[in-house]
Amino acid sequence: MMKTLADYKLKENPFRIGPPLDPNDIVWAGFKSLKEEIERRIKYAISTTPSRMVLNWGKYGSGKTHAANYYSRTDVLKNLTDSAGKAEAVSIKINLPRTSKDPVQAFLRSFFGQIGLQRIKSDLTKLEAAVGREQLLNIISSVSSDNVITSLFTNILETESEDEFPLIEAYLFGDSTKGTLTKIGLPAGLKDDEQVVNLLSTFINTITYEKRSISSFLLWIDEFEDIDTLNKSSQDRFTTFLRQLFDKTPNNLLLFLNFTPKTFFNIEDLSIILGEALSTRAKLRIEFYEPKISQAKEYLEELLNNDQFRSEPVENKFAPFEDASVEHLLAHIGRLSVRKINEVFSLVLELAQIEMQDSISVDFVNSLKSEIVYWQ
Amino acid sequence: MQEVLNYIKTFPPALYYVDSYEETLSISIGDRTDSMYLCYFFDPSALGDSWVDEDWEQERIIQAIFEGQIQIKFYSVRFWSEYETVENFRSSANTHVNKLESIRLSALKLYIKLFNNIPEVKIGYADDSYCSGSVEAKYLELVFKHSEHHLLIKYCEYVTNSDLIIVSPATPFSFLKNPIVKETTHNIHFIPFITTNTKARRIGYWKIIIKLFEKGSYYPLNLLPIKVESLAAALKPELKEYKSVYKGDDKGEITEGFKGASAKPYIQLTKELNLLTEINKSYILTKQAKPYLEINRSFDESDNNKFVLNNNDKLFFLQTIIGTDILYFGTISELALIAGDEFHPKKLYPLFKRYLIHKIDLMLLETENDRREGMLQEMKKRVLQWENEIKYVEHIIEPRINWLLDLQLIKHSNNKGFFCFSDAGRRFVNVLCGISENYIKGWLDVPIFLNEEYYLAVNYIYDWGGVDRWDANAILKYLEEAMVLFKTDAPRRIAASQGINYVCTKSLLEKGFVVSFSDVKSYLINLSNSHFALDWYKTENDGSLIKQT
Repeated sequence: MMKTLADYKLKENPFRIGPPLDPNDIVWAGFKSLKEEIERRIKYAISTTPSRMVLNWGKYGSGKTHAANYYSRTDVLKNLTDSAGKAEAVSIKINLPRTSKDPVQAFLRSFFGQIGLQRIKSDLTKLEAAVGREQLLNIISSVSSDNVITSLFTNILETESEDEFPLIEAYLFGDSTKGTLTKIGLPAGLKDDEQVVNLLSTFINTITYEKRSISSFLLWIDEFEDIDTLNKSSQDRFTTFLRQLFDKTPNNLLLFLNFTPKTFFNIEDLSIILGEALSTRAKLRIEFYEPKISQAKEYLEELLNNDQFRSEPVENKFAPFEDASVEHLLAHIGRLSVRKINEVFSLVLELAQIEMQDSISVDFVNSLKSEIVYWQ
Repeated sequence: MQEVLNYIKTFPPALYYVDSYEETLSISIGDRTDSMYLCYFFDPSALGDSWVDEDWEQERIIQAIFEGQIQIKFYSVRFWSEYETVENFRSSANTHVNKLESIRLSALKLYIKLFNNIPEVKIGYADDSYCSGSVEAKYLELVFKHSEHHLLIKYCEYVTNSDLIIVSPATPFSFLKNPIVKETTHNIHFIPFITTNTKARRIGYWKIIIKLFEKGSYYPLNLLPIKVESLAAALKPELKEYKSVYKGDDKGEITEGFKGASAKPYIQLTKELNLLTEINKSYILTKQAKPYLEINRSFDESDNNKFVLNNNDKLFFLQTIIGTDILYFGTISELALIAGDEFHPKKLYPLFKRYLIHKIDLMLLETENDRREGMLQEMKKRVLQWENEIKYVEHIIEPRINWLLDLQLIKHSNNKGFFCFSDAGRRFVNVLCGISENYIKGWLDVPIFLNEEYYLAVNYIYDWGGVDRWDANAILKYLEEAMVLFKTDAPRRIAASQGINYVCTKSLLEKGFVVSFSDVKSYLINLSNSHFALDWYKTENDGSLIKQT
């Protein structure tokens, strides 16, 4: 016999440790000033033209990946563009390629893995509806200055059936055999990193042209500290690629780099790996700060009472946790991070169910000291 | 064989001791200490089953040896040392020979003096088999081959008649409160030695290379050598003066040439020393080198000869060399010390290979379950295959002899081409012995030594008169300075090692207060005020020092 979450007036356990599968479960709770900072960046990106690079600094478990998921996989971004009266924005999250022999190719696959040819075609078609085919082709060709890239996009625009997509995908991912080239009708394959930059920047520049059909392209690069798993020349290659991508996309791109402030063998932190050239372009930063107890309480209150999780209104806002036990827990688990808070509160919640607690008191929390790894 | 037996008979039988398990006949020698033995290793196999089945007490064995029924295979001299694990031991700088490292250097010094060679050396121990199994005593053994008995006799005569064993050239030195350190290193995947070129001899050039980064934070790969060469050209008079006035040396000059070729060995060396690294086809200073650079700004050196190292230079470069190169640098330092009261570098060349193998063998005694065991075995195989190594070994020895000179650990002696150790140099070798003696994996545990004792050690080596004192106000002030000096794009934080080393160095050089890296780290971890917090990353052996809002 154990208590159910319904007994606690909860629909589900709100304390996630990993990213949720169901986008509805991706909620934002507390951390108001952080949210405002991120959204200010997004609003500027939606409403103004210059591309920007932002470094998101935060320890493990501080919510950087969550932020990327929140703005990429829910309706929040749409709400922001709607209230600004602008066309929709695109947001995708890519993990930095790990232990890869060819980090640029890995990045490309990841990018198109999320965007997909259907999406590309529909974005291009949308713009076509606004400016007409001829104008669109002019835009593509002037932005890319590269026959191969122009032909590729023309090709995508003109494909009638989705059956042809696999062939185009193969081409994108390096298949430049004579047979494929002939079938697609392209003169050559994608040769090198510069051409990949060209491909991506052409795509982004085109679909965000004058913000007509897409107002902004948000690109989150997560787990940047994994660059340490690449060898020196791959690291240099990747940072060069990023710099070129940023330079070739001077409009409407908002690039978020998720950085963990750890230190490395010979160098202080990731901003040094980024190199002088990229550092001068990345002057903006957002700190995913360590919450104080009061901020953690705010987070917990909003999380527990979010419509996604709370089944009916409750008097004690932290239910099933008693007010005092929330403070007690937060004060005894050392330095706080969202992940740590979620882990601890999830565990206590589950144990309370097993132990048939009507509510979670300070005494009950104390009885669990040995179960809680972080207890101090 | 008869000669061997005759020699044994010159000793009174009361001094004989037979160990039938180890198959040795030991003879206590030397009346100044009861811890030296001649050991004769015998082979009882000619006795067949009789050896196993019958009772062979001491008398009977000795008789069989003298009658030739039991053959002697080889011989050794053994020096015993009591192994102390006293918890509150405080080491002192006396010369009483009670430590194995002292004995080792004495014994080898004598051997080199007599035979100009390095013998096979073994280390063994006797445990307290009745009780805890803990080690009670260790011995150092110099092994003599079957054909070398005449050398053995000569060695014993000297050992019993001279001071050479009693007054050791070095005494292991440690400031640790618990001298046998319980912590040891794991998961380290390199052996601490670096590759050098005979041209890269002057430490002064490392200074000027690093100083270039006062003006720029990065230099393209092909540009730095050229800049270094033009700077070096301006320093030629100072280099000459370094030799003539400051009793230094002018070898290893960087000359102005074509495309920076002359500077390249030095730049390569600064990379090996982890002072410079490459990002995006440019050189940048490593995080380790930046505190050194910042502290040097406060030394007004416009009038000083750049090749004469100041205290900050000595502190930092010695620390760097110990961390990256102790296997070669320490080996050469020891060898130079025991090669004679004064030594000529070229005399070391033929001895180096064997002495290095000896040092590697000592390290291998403590590397069970450590991946470095395999690396050391590989290294030993490679070194054993060195042929005609005199030319090759020059690239290893010459730079390091010159570093010893620039660090003022050795000086020119009156004989041209010869060097002798300064007091600081002797104390340096004491520290090397202390690391071998007191750390579980000896020199392989140098990262722990650097954290626990380096600032104490360098203060002792150079006799700067620093005292063990904690000035909390000064420490906080230095931390605040560090937060500004080492700022990067990371918000409100710097690399902890930069802050901590800055604090330790400033505290010692400016105030004369000695604090260790681990003292400051513990202070930061335990700090319950709202100034600073420390995130530590064990795998990096470093962390982030955060300024709290």
